[in-house]
Amino acid sequence: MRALRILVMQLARLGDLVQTIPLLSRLRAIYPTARVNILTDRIGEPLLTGHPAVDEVIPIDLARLSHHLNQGSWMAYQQITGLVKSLQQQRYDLVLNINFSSLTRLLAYLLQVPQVLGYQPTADGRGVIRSPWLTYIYALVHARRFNRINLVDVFRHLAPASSFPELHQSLFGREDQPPWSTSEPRLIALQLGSRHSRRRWPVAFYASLSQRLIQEYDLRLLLLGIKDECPLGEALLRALPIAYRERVSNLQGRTSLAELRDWLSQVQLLVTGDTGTMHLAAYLGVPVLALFMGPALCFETGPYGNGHYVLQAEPDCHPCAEAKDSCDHAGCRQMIRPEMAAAVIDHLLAGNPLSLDSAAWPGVQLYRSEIDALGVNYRPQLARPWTFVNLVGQAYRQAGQKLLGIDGPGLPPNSWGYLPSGSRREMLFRKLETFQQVLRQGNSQTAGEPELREAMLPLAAFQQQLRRQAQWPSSLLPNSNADWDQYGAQVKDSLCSSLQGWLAQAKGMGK
Amino acid sequence: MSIYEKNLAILRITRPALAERLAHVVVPPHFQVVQARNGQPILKIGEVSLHSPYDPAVEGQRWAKAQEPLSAGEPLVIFGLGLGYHWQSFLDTADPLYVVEPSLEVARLALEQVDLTPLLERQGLRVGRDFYDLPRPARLLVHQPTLRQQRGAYRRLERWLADPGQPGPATGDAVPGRPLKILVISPLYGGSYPIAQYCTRAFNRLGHQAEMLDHGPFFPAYQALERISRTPQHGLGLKQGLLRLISEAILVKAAEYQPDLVWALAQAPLDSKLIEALKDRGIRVAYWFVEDFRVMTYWQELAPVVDAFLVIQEEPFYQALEKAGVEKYAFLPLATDPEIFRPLELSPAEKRRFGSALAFVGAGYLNRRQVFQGLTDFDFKIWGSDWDLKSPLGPYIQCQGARISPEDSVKIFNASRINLNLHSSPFHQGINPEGDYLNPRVFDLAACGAFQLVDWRGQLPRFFKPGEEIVTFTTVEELRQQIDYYLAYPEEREAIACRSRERVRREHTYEHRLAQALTLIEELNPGTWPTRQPTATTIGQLLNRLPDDSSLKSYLGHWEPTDTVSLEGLANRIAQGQGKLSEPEAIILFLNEFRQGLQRGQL
Repeated sequence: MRALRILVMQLARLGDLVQTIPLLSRLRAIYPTARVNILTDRIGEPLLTGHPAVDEVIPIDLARLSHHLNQGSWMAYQQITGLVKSLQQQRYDLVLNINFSSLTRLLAYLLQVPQVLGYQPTADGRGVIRSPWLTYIYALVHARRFNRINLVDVFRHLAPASSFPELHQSLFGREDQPPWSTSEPRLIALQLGSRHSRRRWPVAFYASLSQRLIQEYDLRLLLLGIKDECPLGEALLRALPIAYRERVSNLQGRTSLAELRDWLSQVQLLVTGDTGTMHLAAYLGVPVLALFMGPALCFETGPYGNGHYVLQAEPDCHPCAEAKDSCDHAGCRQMIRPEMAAAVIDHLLAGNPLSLDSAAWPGVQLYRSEIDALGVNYRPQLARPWTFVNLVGQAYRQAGQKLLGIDGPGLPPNSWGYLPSGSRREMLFRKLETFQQVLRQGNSQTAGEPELREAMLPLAAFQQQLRRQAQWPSSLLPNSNADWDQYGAQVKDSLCSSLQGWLAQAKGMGK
Repeated sequence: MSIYEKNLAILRITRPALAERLAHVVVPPHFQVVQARNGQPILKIGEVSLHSPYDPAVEGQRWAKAQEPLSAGEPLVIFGLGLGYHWQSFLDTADPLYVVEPSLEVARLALEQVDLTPLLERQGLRVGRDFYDLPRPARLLVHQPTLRQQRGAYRRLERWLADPGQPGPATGDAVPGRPLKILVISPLYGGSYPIAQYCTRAFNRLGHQAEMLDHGPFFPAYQALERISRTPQHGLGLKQGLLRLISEAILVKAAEYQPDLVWALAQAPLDSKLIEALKDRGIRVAYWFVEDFRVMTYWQELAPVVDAFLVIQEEPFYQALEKAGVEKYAFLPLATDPEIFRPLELSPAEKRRFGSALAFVGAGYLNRRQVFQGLTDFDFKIWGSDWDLKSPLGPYIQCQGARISPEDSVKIFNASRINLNLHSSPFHQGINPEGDYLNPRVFDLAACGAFQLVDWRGQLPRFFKPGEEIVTFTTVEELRQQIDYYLAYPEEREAIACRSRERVRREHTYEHRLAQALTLIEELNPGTWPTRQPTATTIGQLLNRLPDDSSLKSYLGHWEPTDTVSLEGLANRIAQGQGKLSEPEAIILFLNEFRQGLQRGQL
């Protein structure tokens, strides 16, 4: 019998490719003898070549394709025809289409394989069918505040459930290892830039943090990033006293992907926003202190693995929409103070206990990443009272886990904070009870409060999308005889029972 | 030997190609040579005179004297030939001297009227764009009446002379043949709304890539806002809010579509702020003001800011534009879409429903209500909105005064023996004696091969030969006589309608106009179209370039080889289809998706 042939398609950016590695590892664990190939942009090739979970990296040269297209040349057509032909010759048994993109949908259609997981093309190639899991993720994005599922796990669970140990656990491990070995030299990397300015910590704050680190510890700093980010590095150097500048090496725009990987594996810590460099560091097992603000939400795209720290700015309006042009009060970029980052690094570096007086960290939460049965979650380090958003968010996470058929406890409620007292407790109870009623009626219009309506959105979107797919003619749905309705009911029940359980528990505690 | 023959003989020696062209020019009737009060000939284009109607010679001498003296050997270029009064005296004082005349017709008439030999002998007459070998720098003098007629041609010449670093005509004339991306902005409603659709079709047929931003769907909201409040100011405020929102939508669309040109029709929801914002993004903005400037005065805000303000009226509008500081304007009359407006075979039922001896399609303006009351003894049907059903005309108004779609208009035009075309006027009782521009109905009726009676308009002779291609009236009495006569002679009706249709198809389609418009826009903003790789080729050209075993080759083999294709065009056709995608279809969609992703900056 010939070995199973599997193709994973990932045409998105480098960060997304890194976030796909745990999926590859899982496939390897489930199908140890299968041939696992990945189709990706040529620039990502060095990252995966030689990786134990991958047999072959099939590069698609997107730069060449765009060159051909800009020339208006039919060579673009020939390039894709050639690619499709060579992929067809491989006669794949299984394709994982993990991008919500017409490009990979059309490629998956062209390959005419027996099974597509993830975004599955319809039988005519014109549309796409989401699996229940991807439909659920799509629904959660309707109210991102409540989303507690990381993109890495979105990808990972596209492969069938596995009871085998996955490769990633060794790579993303480092459970409670002290990141600082006593050996010298001490090296911290800073990634100053990020694709959107609203996700970027002010360079003045990076400068102030750098000065402090150089002053208090005998260490060197590395500035990582692409060429376009050089002005940030230069600004940081200008802001430092001259004597300190020689302690900073600016590598912005000077590293290939392989060199970036080499440099990262030498540092003891990376301080960064939500960036591709962050995902790469987490993948390499380098401890990360991530600074999340604006549209960045650690639950969605935080560093994967155990023991990474995230400082998350949490104004009322977070997380904001990525595409929003401007923000009247971009105050969230200022909320994480350099002292806060310094305190976390001090804890990591010298082993000093963190001062966890939450009043001293207004508007900011410090999270530590933890792996549970579903994947990564983020445990708050500052004791704050339970909030409605928190509880419902965790309930949605639990429901997602059920949808996947995974058993196992999530983070216990007492790890998300404490039960508030007095009238705030009463309000929380009332809100939760109303929400349960609304859930049972299944009509978000009856939820008076905007926050309740928002909390209903993911469930409503999930049910609506399932119903839409159920109405498609069966001729368009290849090998799919799913009973779409049951998933909606299952999620609803799970949400109700989680909230009911916690409420009962809380009321017991309150007595 | 006449003056003309003498001039032509010398020109045949000095510039033979030009001589050949001028010998074959057919001068349209609105170019006229008339006598000034002092008996000297002067040239009129339409209603505009190029010289003083009293004493053109004295006027010309005064003009020449008023110019700053030339330094020795300084080349002189004069824009505008006219009949020579203004530049004659420079023959003695300037060397070299060149006279650049943009219009072949003017040059031809000058050749017939004036002894040009002193100018021709020194190769001093240049016509059209034949000026790229003139010495630079040079003194440039402008004959103002010519400038008003030919703003664009002047800007081209001025730019060429002012910038010795500018490369030759290859870049300056880059418009024709190169596909542009054009975003057409429609109004929310009204007469110019269908014109926006016709323009979009015409740009695409010319090989450009045009898309219409359709604001029709916002019209119900606009009307609904009007009804919200009884206080007019409140309604106005609400409607302005909607228009602001639409402005934002236009910007979003423009940012995504990245057009070379925004082509806006009269009443389109654009204000000067939005226009500036579009221009800041490097987009050229042209506005086709298909309105009467005396009635609609919002041109005062828009005309100064757009890259090209195209108008359907000439003087005194030009003077008003200049007074408002507008430099980039040009004349672009209306036209028709012969694929929409065409002769139709109607069923007997349709003939009964839409037919009558006399018909009018249009809105019930005051002057029409008055004139039509004198026609109620005919078999008369009135179609369109804004009529008073309770007036004496009530029994003649069809469909309870509902708006008539272009499709139904075509049927009515075809079914009616005589179509009335009375231009609207809110200012005049009855027939406007000073009407100048032609409405679209003139061209639409002609394109249908329908017979029309139209009130006399100043511009009419330059589009149709009165009496041969079109029949006119100036009074109600004359109109009644014409109706009686042409109802009695159907074969004469048909002959005139047929000639009228031929003329329109030959000269007055939106394709003709818009090709000209792109040249005008380029002339008003010389050499500034962005460079872009061509995206449209014909299927035949593409097939020649493909290797034999390409699946694309067999796929495209079923298509018309003369069709132009672009990746986007192919992809749109495939996406609109049904059924399983074939491999070439899926690959074409893939490439188009990828290209769009590149344009949005997402890849």
